[in-house]
Amino acid sequence: MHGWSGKILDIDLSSGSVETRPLDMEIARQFLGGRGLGARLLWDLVGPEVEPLSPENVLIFTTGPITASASQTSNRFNVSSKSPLTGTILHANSGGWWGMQFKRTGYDVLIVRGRAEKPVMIEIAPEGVKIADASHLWGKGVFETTELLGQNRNKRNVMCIGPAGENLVRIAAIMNDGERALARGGPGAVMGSKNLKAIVVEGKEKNQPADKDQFKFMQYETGKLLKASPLTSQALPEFGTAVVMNVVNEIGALPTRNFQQSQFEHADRISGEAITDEILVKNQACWACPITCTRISKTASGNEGEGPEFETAWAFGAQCGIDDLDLITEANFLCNDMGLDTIYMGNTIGCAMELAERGLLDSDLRFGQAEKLQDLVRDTAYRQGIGDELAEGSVRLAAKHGAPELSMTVKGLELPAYDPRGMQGQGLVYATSNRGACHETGNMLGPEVLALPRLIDRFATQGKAGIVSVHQNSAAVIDSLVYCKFANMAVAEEFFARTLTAVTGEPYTADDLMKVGERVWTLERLYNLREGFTKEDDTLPDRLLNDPVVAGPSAGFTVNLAPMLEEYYQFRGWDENGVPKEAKLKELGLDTLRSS
Amino acid sequence: MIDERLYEEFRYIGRDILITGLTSSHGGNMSVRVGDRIIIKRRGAQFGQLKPTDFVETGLYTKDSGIVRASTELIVHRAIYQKTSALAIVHAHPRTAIVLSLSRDEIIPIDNEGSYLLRKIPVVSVEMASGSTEMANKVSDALQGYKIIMQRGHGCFAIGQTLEEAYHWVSTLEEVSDIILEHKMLGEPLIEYRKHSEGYKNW
Amino acid sequence: MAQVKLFGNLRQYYEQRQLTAAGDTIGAVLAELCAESSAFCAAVTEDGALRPFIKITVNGRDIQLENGLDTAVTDEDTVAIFPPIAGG
Repeated sequence: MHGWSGKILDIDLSSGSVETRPLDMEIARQFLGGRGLGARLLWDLVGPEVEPLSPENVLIFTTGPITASASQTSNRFNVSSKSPLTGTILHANSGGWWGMQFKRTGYDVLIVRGRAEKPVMIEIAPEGVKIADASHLWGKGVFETTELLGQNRNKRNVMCIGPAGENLVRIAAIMNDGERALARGGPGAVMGSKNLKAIVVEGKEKNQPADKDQFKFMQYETGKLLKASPLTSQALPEFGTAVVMNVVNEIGALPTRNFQQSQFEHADRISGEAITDEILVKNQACWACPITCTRISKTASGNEGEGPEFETAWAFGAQCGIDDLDLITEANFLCNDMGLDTIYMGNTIGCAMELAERGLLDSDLRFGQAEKLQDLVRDTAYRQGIGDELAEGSVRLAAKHGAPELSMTVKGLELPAYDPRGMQGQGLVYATSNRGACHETGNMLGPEVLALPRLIDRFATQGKAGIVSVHQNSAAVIDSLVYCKFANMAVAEEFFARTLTAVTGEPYTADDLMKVGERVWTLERLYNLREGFTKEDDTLPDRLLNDPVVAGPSAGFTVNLAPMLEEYYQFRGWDENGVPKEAKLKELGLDTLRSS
Repeated sequence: MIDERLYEEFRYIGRDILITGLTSSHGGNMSVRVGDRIIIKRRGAQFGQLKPTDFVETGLYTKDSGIVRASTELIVHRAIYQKTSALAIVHAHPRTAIVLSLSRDEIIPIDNEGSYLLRKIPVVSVEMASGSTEMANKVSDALQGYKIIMQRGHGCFAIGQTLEEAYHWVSTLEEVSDIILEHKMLGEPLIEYRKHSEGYKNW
Repeated sequence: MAQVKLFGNLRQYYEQRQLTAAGDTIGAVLAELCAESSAFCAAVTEDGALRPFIKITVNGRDIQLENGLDTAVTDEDTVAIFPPIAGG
């Protein structure tokens, strides 16, 4: 294959049917793969009438045209579905090995529909595809399941859910290769609702470039850039993603105690520097990646595993007022084993802590109680006690206790680790992100803090909409190829375009890719509009719009969302209600979708 | 209308472009995109002396008032914003690059920094310059695959997310061109030090 | 004296993570730090200018958006110096 095998594996767990269908190559060229292709297939398969946890919802696992090509960071893959947490479109992607291995089975896409009568697993190998009984695995954690199913680095890779997915926890993740997560939006709950415990892949096919010489040249040039950039060759390997903890704190944009403050007095104790000093055993890479940002850490109790990433260290740390790195790391390991999204988990615990401190939740839970983290994680996965409420998400939790404004969410998805009152553009990213509050869909950390590609004033609002849109489009196409966004810190879209050309033999320019990104973003928007979301949902929690930051470098600021949002709709060619105009849909080749 | 931060950026970049000799006193222009609007330097305004009143705001698609005072190359800027993801454009007249464009269809850097940042700068030829439809089409098409391009005998167009980024490419192009020219004048054979540099030809 | 905080691998050049400096501009503060450690100086500057992606803030404001190395520093200020960082 040169980029695409052209095959979709379509499995219906209700009937047990296993079919191979051709991939519509016109759609493949328009959406490439990954997140874009997933969204396009989901558009046809899952309409507004479908309940996310019903057999009618689907899981669409997609690779991209560069997946498994051995281009740097070509290990990633995507899952698309309708979110049981938010009701929006769901897309999540992950690195490791599984995505590369699935591509090698000779399929671009795996669609899973229906619901098995009892727990099952799917195995895709050169000998064929089979649906097997998995009753003996049901109830087991992710680590044990992964090992029992024969995880073997480059040869055989396991993806599964843990107890959280089985128990339909709305923020359950799907875990691959033991410790990597397809997390945001609750895809693990969808998998659990299908009685599907695991998908194991073994493949032998190769994604070979159509133009070998050009591909080699691009690998060489890409490698040169990754090596030359101090970001990808020093910062990420040495300190991991949490190296940004201190800078985000120093500028007054680190949400603390459920976003009541924007600086955490003990940020240094949960930073990348602290991780390296105190718990790091070694760093590790995903398949075909020279960056090696993954942390392998060891806690005082002797547990060893991946993490914590920046978002996790923040979620269980500053968000909960906790500075105990060891216990934060234990909570991280436990989330991995239970199959839970760590951002969501920490954010929601922070919400519960504030509810309890304000006397709205009958509990002795308080900010700073590190010793309670592991119990809360376990209780959430098994839906025990207060965990049963945490498992529903902070929107439902805060509303139930009479304070919906204390839920730090957009479109029902928990906010990640940046206080947008200190990063105005990030506020616009959260408000407009199609899967709900998310930084990975257009992170403004680059331009507003790290000077990537250039430093812009983080408190300014004029002109932000364009930068946000360009970053969102870029993220959407990177998620569709599928590359790692960290590679993009050193390697621009013009490289991705030329590598894609070398792999597929079809000409792509940087702007062709940006156009794909815009198409993907707009289709996701159409999906949410079809689900009933409106302009009213493009907003932020009251606290961020109305309560100025009390102290620190961002003191006095709220998010000035309205003018940015107006400019944003105009930039995107949407009307004043945030609905894409006909001319824009025509330009993107999406006009036929809307009328259908 | 233009806010203070944006004006300051225009002013600094305009001054730097003039004093680094990348254009003549009144030549070239700059613009940024805000939403579905374009803010562009007024026709005839001096690069080194930009005032808040030296800018015209106009629509990305529609013709409206202000257009008479806008740069004659507004049509080119519109086409670039419509066809690429540019948020800022710098058009200047870097003289060595113009010299090279008179005899070459592409400028391929031989210095390390230029190779690293630009790899190749295509040259497009336009019969009717200064704001013709032909020029708008050719320049915007070329910028879909490159962040800076030369128009033969006229000047360069560079794009970026900010004016500073676009300015960086212009400044780099002129350095690249100076080095090529001086190396050519020296007349000694090039000792290739870059592995796989033949790949830049196809960039 | 202004407080100076160092982050990431810049901490290896000094005994403490938090230093003080008397300089009244960022340039003067850097000169003081450079006088103590030439290795630090080489990591942060090149030909008298900051290396790419070195980030310096005064009370959380990036000096790139202030007056660069001429940004004023008073005794009450906190200066933070970061090596190239990425992540998130």
